[in-house]
Amino acid sequence: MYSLYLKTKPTVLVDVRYLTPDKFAGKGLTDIKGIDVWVGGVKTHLSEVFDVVGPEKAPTDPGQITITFEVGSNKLCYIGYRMSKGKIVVKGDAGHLVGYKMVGGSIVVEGSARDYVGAKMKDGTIEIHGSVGHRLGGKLPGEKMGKGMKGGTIVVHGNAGSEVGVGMERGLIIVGGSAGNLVGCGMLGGSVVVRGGCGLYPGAEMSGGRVIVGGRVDAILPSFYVDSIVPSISVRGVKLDKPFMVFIGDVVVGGKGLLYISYNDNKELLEHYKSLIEEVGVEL
Amino acid sequence: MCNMVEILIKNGFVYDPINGVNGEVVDIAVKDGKIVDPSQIDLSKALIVDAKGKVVMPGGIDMHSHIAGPKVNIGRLMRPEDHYLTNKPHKLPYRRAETGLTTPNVFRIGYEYVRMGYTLVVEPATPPIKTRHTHEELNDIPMIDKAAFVLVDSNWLALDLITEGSRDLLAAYLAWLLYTTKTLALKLVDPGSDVSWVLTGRGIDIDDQIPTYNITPRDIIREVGNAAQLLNLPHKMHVHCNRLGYPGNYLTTLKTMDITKDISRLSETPALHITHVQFTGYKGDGWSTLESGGEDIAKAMKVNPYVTLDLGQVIPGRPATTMTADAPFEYVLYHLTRWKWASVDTEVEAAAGIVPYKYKKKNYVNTIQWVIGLEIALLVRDPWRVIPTTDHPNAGPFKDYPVMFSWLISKKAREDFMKEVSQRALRKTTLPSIDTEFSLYDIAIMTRAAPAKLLGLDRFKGHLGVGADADIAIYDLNPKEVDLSRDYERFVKAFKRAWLVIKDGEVVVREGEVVKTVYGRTYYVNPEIPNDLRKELDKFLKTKFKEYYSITLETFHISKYELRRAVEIPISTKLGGV
Repeated sequence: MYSLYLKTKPTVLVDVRYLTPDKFAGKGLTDIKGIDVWVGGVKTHLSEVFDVVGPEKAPTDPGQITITFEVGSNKLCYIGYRMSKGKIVVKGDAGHLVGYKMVGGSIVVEGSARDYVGAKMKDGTIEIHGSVGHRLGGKLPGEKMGKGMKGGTIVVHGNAGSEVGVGMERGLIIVGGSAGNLVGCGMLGGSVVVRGGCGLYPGAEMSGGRVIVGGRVDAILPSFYVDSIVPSISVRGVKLDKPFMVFIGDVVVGGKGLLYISYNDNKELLEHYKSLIEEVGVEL
Repeated sequence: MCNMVEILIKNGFVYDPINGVNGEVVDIAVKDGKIVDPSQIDLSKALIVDAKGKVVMPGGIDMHSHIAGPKVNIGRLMRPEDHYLTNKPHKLPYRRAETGLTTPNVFRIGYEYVRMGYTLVVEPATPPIKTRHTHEELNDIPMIDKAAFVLVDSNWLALDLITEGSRDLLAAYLAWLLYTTKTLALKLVDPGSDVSWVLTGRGIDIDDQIPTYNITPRDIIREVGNAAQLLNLPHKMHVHCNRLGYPGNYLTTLKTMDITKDISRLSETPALHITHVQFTGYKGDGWSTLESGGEDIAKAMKVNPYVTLDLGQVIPGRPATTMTADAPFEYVLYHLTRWKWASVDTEVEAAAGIVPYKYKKKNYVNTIQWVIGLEIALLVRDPWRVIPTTDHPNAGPFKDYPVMFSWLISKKAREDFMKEVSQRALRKTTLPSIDTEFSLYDIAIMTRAAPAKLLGLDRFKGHLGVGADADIAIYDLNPKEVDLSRDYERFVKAFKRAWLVIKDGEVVVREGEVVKTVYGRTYYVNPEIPNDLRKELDKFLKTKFKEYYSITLETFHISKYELRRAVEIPISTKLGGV
């Protein structure tokens, strides 16, 4: 319902953490224009950075509010910070920390986003039509495992960077394209589905949850036990109709996580594991 | 430094234990960074501070707080999460940017201390070879005066000399070490354990044999104590006891206290300072049956008059980063916490470990730890000998000092806090039955006068007599109106943010906000060594450095110009049989 037009293309990072339906709810347009925005760390107002078009008085229920960034920029950080209801649409790119700590509602980015999309989110949905940077749905550096994403769904139609779902506890991440190294490292639970390929060592130090890689994998850690080969899998409504090899690990942390690697795309890499399965007589 | 204004502080309730001033209204005059007689002030030019209804104290002194050195820096590196929600942007030209809670940046250390009215802080453990780094970091800490203690507990050169039994040469070596590393006193951390840790992978008790050396930790403490007596050091020996952090270790602490009887004392000043005694006051066979050894330690304090203590008081509910040269204990702690651990060895001298930890209110062990520190302070009841510290950042951040003081001055504060902690643990302790409440005068002793005396800096620090450095803290608290034992929250609020702080004759804090950034001095001792002994020492150092160290003797030496505002304290020793 509210449309925000960037006045000028920002050259430094802009912190828009308070431009959420929760903060808009029940406010008049002039109050909304006075909401704090930080440009390069310097505090200023919403109206200094954006032209706002919308109703004079916002509804008191944030669930009825939609905020649209009509012009995107990869400098806009903290979009949807701690939002609980409503919807945010970005018609363009978004910056770092989209949906950081969000607890509900939905965010749609029609372009690409940068690092830490959905970091530490508790619930809600994020959909990114482009690609994202590193640590999608992850935790911040230094924090304990399990301090990452705690619930909700993130769907990325493009590619993702390294460490997708690092330290996540619950929730679902779906990457339509390929991902970088260390997919799902340090996971305690939840699911990460990468339809395309990924880089090195998916599932490193995971102690629970599921990592599914539907494409080519660069390497698998030796600390995973091979379990079996399944003809097809379905994870929370996502169906992948091709054979997958199932691994259990990561044993260096005593983990019981499941790692599914597409068999047809990695025949060379998985040949040795297949011979191990055949030795003990497990049927394909 | 001649640009200073003259200041006259009027109508304040002055607490100055060294000069015996207890809450009387006295005028304090400041000129050229020193305290002078009020008659010497030109009233027409002077800045008059009306401290009516406020408490005036000398600047606070913290004699044990890990604020600088390589291990603090490793702590910063391994705890980025400590810095996420604690940032405070700069406010130039008054203040630089701050960050961190348990491992703050140098600016926050200086500002936070001075905002609480502290003006002298001592870094209590620096390995000799890394002391250049420690000084670089101390140089960057604004506002406060600084000093450092040098680690000698597992130093191979010292151990060689102790094994040989050459008492004079050991004293000469320690004197040289203090001067060459520009430090104030000697620190023993879990004596002998780092040698044992490096060679066998575990720590040792006070009467265990140190591997490859034919001595025990008891010998190290005694001989270093004797050397400190010969050198006539102002602060003789700062000891972190063996078996720190293990249940049942209070017996080791009692044995360590008894060593003062074996030291041939040459002066009447305290011979041994046991630091963060809370960590070494555990009674019981294991963690599940842990009890407080506070009563036993308090009793031992009565029969060992030459022992002083600091608490290492745990602040439950706050994160902490344990960092100590007691590497074997950190290994144990890491296996309890299973999160992060840094372990560092320095050649020849020491080892260190860093493990983040959080003291939980409802935890049985953590509650006992909280009780032990308070029991010792309240049962010994001698503010001149028991110094409250949190061993920042090991037991809690120094930021919580006012909260810790409130537990000492108010039974109600303790009772309110006791509602939140583990009741099962409380039932095993005597803390609920202790009625002792310290006064504001006692707090002034514990945080000003006593540390100044123990550090031997009481000529110009820790008091407000004529000739002292003009480090003054004024707190917005009227002791005539506020009943501290009931209204302890007012006390906490006042002491968290001083109303006005004067450092070296300049106003640096106004109403809890830093208004000017200044840099303090660094104190170190220079004990004189007789010429014949120096020749012997030079020969010893030359051979040993070639044998043990990867660097040369010349590189090891830290020059005076490397310190920002160094202050040398020359000491006439009793070396050479005088």
